[in-house]
Amino acid sequence: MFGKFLLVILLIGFVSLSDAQKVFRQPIIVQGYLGMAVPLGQGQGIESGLTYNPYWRLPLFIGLDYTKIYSTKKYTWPEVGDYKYRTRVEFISPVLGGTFFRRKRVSISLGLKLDFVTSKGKLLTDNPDLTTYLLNRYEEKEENLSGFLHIHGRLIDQVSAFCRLSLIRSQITNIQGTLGFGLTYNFLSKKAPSTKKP
Amino acid sequence: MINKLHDFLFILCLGMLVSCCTSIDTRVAKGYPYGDDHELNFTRNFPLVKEGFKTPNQFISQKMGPNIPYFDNKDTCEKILKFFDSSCNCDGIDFEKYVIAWIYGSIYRAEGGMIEPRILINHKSKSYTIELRGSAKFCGFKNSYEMDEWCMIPKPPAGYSFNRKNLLPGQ
Repeated sequence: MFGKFLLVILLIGFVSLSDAQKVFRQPIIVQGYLGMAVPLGQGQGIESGLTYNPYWRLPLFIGLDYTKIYSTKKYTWPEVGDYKYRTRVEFISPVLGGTFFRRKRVSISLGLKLDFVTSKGKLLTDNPDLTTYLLNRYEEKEENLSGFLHIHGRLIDQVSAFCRLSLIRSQITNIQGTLGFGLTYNFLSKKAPSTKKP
Repeated sequence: MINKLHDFLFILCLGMLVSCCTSIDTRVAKGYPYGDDHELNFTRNFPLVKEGFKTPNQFISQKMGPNIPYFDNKDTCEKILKFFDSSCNCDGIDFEKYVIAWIYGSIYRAEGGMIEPRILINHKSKSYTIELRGSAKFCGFKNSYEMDEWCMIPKPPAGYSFNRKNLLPGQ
């Protein structure tokens, strides 16, 4: 429900970007984003993060991204019973990237991230047979270097919509990547010069 | 002079062999993958028979899917095993819940290695899979590494398709 609502908001946001060439005066220094993540596989999740551009003259930024993919499903084991199994994959990733067209309405960021991946599985049903048969709880960790593409549409000065494609290289999950949608809050630079021509 | 040349060539060949070594590891973490496949617990090297005793594949007519011999009742189990050794028995196995399967595989032309079987069940596609993964180092030497063990595995539900996936290195 939340995902559909967010998707509609975002579609309206991107459709309203008719004047994509509009130039914003104040560049963004810090961005905090939150949204939904759709893995290129199955499940659903959240995508959130914070980026910081320490020098507004340079297009480089550093940041921290947190993505969580989760899925709880019900299964039936014939003659043993029904059970629920929950899987969660969390990615905590320091990121380094560059943003192009920063003062335009639509900007594009590309970057690298170091993923600290934790994959967890848990049997939620208390059935003695199932806990004997199934690997009822597991937790695995790994680190990987991967990349992302972040498209950022500025709706108003302080609020943007984003669409983020993250590629994932992982030995412990079969998620190849995630597609994230959501909203961003922009903290603007007050020191930046005006773009108006004298 | 010839001796020195011989030594040089020997060391050169040895160096080439060592430098040509490649390691392949197809093992994955427990619980992999993130999907509808669920990994099952099972007992490896189940002490069904005396140490060092192997039951040849061809003596067990009952096969699980593609060529995995197994016992799913005590009578068959003891009848066959006692034919080879009277001290063998199948006591203490709940055949309502488990079967005894002979899981085997080989890594060819490897310089040592290990085989790690996994058992996966998928209730969406109604399949039961014995997956063989492992790690090995491949050098110029041509040895092989084998695994054949009796394993006590959860009884596959009736009507499920049975698969054997060979994901061993070098195959």
